[in-house]
Amino acid sequence: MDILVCFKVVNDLDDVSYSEWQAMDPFSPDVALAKKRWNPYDEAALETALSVAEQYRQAGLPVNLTALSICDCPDQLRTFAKQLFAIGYHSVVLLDCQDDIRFYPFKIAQWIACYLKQNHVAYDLIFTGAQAGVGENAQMPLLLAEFLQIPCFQWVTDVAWANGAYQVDCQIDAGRRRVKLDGKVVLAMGDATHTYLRVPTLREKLLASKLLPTVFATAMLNPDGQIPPPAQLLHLSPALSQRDCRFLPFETADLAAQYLHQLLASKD
Amino acid sequence: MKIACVLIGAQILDQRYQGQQFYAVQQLQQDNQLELWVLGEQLPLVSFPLQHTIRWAAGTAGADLLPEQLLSTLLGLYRKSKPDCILFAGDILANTLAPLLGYHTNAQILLSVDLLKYERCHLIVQKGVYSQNLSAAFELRHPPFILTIAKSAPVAPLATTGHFCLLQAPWVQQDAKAPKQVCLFAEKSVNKLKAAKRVVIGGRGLGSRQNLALLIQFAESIGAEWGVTRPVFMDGWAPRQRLVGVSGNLLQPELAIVIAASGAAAFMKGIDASKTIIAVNSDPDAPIFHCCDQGIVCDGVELLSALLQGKIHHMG
Repeated sequence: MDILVCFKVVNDLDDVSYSEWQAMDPFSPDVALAKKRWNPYDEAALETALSVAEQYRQAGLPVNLTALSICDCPDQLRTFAKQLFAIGYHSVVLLDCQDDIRFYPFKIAQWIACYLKQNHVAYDLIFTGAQAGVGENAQMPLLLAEFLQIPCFQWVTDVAWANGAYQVDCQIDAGRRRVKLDGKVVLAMGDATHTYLRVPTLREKLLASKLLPTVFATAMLNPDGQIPPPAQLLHLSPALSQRDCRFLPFETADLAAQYLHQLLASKD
Repeated sequence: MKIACVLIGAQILDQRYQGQQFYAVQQLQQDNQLELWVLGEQLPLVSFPLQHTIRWAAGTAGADLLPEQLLSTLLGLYRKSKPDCILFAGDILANTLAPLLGYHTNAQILLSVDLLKYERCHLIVQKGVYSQNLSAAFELRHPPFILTIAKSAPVAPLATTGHFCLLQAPWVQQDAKAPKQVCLFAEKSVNKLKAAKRVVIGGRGLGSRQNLALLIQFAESIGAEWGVTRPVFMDGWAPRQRLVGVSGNLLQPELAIVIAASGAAAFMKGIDASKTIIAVNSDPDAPIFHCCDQGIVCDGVELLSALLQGKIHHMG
């Protein structure tokens, strides 16, 4: 069983203050000072993949786990790669890309598909996150699946493996759907059961300390077939609030509670 | 420009989706050739108030049907009609189908768009990016364009009678990839949070599951529904159905009381349509105070304890 997880390390946009957003560059906002973290949906994908791999191993079957990311500075991802090695990933591939692909999911999917084809690697399960915060494109998993001609399930919440088949739970508009699968598939994790990635022990960290990710330049990829050009970004503007906050100066929580009780009673 | 709006299955009877599509078409302010593609057992009860064509592929598009199984029907409609722009609704099904159709038609695709306009012979599309902290304007130059409308987009009024030409279209049931999958069940859930007039929402500043229990107790005591922000959901303190924000529930209550939440933009989108927002946070610089009507600088847990205590006194 070969499992691939596509992930992204992002800047935590919640770290950027309201006033900083108002003063951002209208083409390429600088959020570099915000701390780096796993993209939340991708973190769920990385953890769920580990959990499926464990179920596989318990059945006495061999598993190979690979994590792959496209980034513009592979050096910045080395700490994250080390964590992946420490918790059980066998290889980490970093596709070095110098283009602006924030809003070009077609290109990202094409590159990943091309990398897999060019290196003659085929995975049984491909995990991704449903979307990333910067582009909010939410297309890559579906496009990747189409490039690889396999099905894709979006907004997956849980995956289990038993008796030679996967059981996949997904969010749908009406509620929830459970599907049984037995072929190759792309699973895009949404609001998952396993949201955080496990933390390696010191011993695991030491064992993995010498392992290095494979870095591969996207410039070396030769994707075939035409894809549509990206939507051209004209500008970015801060989302402005239409509300004007009136601060209520209460000295104690009791006084604030009293006010809220009166307000609620007046609306009854 | 030739525009096709798509309604599938349960979307057909939900007038909000068609109203949002019509609002988007109206914003283009030019002569458009308008089509409505209906994939389902029935036609909508309301109509676009403009002359249009309805292409109806009659078939069962139930919750157990996988998106890939609808793709062949959509491709058939596309080849027949060749629109410049295809507008989907903003639910999970549409956001899955749009990229699939876009791949097979080599289209420029954008999901969850807020606004459309036509400028200098090009389509300009606006959508939230950077976790909804910024709004991006994109120019699309190479049709076809495939777009889905954001869940929070405005709704335009529709007509009960319309002038349309109805054409039957073939329903193509199977896709080559579909038979490998077996749908075990599709479970419907009722969401009371969406329809609530009063909501109390807790953020991670509550600090623990026990403190969230205080918030739930308070919400129940005032006949309100309760919700949580994404960090609270990710910590496993509350189920997914209680998640408020752009990827969870979008609410429009009369009153939203938000306790101990910082006010991330993606969360605020979920309560933006509330009539009144009261925010409680111990940090006077928290972003939530930029997006609410009334602000109380106070520890959320202390306030909840006082509120519950006050309720007991009041009842006593």
